[in-house]
Amino acid sequence: MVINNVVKKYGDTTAVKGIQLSIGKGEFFTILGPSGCGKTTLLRMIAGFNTIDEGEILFDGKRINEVPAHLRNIGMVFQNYAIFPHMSIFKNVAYGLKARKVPKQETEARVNEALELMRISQYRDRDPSQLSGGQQQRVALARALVIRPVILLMDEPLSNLDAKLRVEMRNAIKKIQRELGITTIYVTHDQEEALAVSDRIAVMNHGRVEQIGTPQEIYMKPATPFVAGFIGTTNFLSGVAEPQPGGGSILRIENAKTVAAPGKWRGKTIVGLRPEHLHLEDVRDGELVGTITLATFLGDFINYEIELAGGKTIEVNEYTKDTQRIREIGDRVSVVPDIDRMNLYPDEGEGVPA
Amino acid sequence: MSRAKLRMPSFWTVTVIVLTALVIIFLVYPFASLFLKSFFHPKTGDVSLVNYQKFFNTPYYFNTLKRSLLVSSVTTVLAVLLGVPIAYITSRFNVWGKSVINVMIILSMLSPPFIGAYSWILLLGRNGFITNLVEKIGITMPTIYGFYGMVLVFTLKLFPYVYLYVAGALGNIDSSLEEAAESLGMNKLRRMFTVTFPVIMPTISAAALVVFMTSMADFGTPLLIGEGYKVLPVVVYEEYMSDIGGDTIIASTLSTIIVLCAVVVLFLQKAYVSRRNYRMSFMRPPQVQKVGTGKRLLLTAIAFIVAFAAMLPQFTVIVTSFLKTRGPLFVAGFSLDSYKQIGFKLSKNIMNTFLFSSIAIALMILLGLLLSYIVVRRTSKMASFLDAAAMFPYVIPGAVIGIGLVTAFNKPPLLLTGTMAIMIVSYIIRKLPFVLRSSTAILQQIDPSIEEASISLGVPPMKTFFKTTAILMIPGLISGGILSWVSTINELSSTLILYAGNTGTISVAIFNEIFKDSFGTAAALASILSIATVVSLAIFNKVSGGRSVLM
Repeated sequence: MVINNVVKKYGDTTAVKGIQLSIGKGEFFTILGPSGCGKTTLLRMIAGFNTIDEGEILFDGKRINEVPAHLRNIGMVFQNYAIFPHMSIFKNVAYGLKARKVPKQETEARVNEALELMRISQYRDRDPSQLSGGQQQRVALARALVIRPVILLMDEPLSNLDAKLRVEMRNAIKKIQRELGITTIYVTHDQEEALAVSDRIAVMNHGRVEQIGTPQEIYMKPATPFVAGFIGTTNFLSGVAEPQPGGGSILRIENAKTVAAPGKWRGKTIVGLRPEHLHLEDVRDGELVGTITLATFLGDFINYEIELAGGKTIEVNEYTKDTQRIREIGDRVSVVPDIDRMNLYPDEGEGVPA
Repeated sequence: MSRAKLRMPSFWTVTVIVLTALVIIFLVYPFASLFLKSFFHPKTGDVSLVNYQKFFNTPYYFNTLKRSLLVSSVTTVLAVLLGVPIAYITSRFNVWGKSVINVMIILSMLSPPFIGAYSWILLLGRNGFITNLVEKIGITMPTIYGFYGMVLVFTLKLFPYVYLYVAGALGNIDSSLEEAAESLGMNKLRRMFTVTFPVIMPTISAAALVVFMTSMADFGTPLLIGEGYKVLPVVVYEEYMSDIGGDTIIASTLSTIIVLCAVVVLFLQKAYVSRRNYRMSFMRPPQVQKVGTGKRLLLTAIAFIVAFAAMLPQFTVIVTSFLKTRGPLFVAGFSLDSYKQIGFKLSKNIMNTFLFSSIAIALMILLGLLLSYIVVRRTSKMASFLDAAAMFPYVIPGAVIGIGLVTAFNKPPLLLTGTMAIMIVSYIIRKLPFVLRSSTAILQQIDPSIEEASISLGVPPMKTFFKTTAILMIPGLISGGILSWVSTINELSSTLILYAGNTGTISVAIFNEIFKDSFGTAAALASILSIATVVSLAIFNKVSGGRSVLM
């Protein structure tokens, strides 16, 4: 599936600003972003519920912009499940087959198969109101899959479930997707969920894609400060880089520590460092120095909040398997970064994110 | 792009076009021309305010406005003063027979207002039962005709709105609010005035609005009991109907003024409520207070006396219908003569009432279904126009609706005057705001993604609508439709202007019989309406499973 420079406007505001994506057969592709970033709008354009103002969407090389939603053969799972309240579970799942005029016997067999796949065969003849949220979710998924769609769309399908059920359902969804090999586009604002289920993730912000990549790429090498801050936690420090006559470049972080920077890196720089890519040492010259303002023991790691000399507050995680020592609030320490894990972004005048 | 343009217009596009055409033909055209007429000079045809100058400078006309506003204001205040305490008593104390009180009050609300006027004339009029009774012991009753009679009839007829609205709101108050007030040291009475009533003020104002609008628009009651005390709708009717000397331009001026008054009152209420939107976040329903037997008896008696007074017209009418009559005179003993007479003379009217109302309600349900969907789900400029246009008749009195339709459709190509169609159109116009309001409320509770789910499963939009949303809306629409049916079979104001020889309804027949002093047949007809109302309500209760009768 290919999405080509797609644009959606609502009056004066542009919700989706020229998105370019291509999704492979059988891929589990996630669109991740904060609320209002345009991810649901994009999904609904694929489903055919929002018109496409510019650009085009192609399925298997065929343009589908003008194909009405009911002819797109797309399976969709909605945030609130959208189970038909006036039909039994069986009728809900059989609904799409009835629309396709599938013979009765085949319908029966395919519905049963789908219910079995989702492990809800025992609720076949119940009314939707008798089912829990997790069970309704399974019905919604069975109903979307039974029509053998070319693509499965999921709009925040787990956001209405409690934390434990969410993990359970997300594993179930991933397994079934693998088993059926169905191309899936999954929309969520939950970065942990996205990392857990996806083959690839597109991170969206303000109607644009900031980065596309595997979960590891997105986490380890975030392309922009936004991605770095949205996925996991990142400390942002300010730096200034100067290329050296002999090659290479020197980066000075928070006016305190100098490190080597790659190639011809120059000028004002945003330095992204995750809490686990920093560690604490006793105060040393030439390092970032700060005071511990909060220490939280969380079992497998200790989370420190440290106020640097310049007034900036950063987070540091130290793992209990690496260190026995828990430092006290008020201690002065040096914060030592893991240089290899540093991500550098040019500061184009927007300043260092908080 | 070209491919998209060549496609058949969608079902909803066609629906919007058809509905817009209907609205323009049956609403915009008749009423815009009616109201605009008042802004032109009657002789020269120039744009002018001369008609309004005439209105304000002629005491005969101007006084009707003052009277209308006075009657409606006094009625509203009294209805609130009567409805709120009774609602408080029945919802907060363990009085006996609550459901009986409720049913009595609902029944009195749904009976046609002019039957109230008529019954009170039977009781307290010049030759009334009570008047004659007390005269024997030497007391002369004050006259029921005029201002006091109108206020009496309207108050007893309309306080049930206040009662039902307020009883509903009192049951929805979070009891922890009152407990908080109590724990902060407020005694019961002060708590009631500092917390309970302020919180339900928006509801009280909504009920007061209904009372004010209904009492200002009604003209069956003032026509029967007002006599010399003429209010606006009566003069509109007279100016329009009188064969000679009638003035249609002043009639349209008066119509415009009465609609403007209604609009102003409506906006005042909306402005008041908009600043007081209290949402109950946490729900702990209030407790019913158990009081001792003495107090309990007293409170029960108060509630029953009021409910009985509201029901009295119904009893009177039913009893009267079984009295023996000779011409306009009642003689001793009971009989079924009155019923035999109407079976002979007026069975056509009975059939008309039920036929017209049924057709009107069926169309209204269909229109309500489609219109509410367009208004709620397909937000566009056209949708807001349709919404505003369909809701507008809420502020137009029935008589004005009648006049507007007669004037607009009395010549080809749309010659509808005197037909059954024009009456059905007027019923739809009058009741559609209520049907539309209840259907939008129902629709707002139905998840839009239900339809998207159906579409994504391969069912085209129109079929999807009828297979999902429409099916989910129908139970609510039908129970709402039953209530509209009740008020349609009782409709008098526009019917009186629109009916012709063979399209008369029961309400028209009652009205004419009263003016012929055939009180027996009038009562028998009114009893038929009352029984139809009771039966409809019973069906409503069965269909709605205890939903409130307020839409």
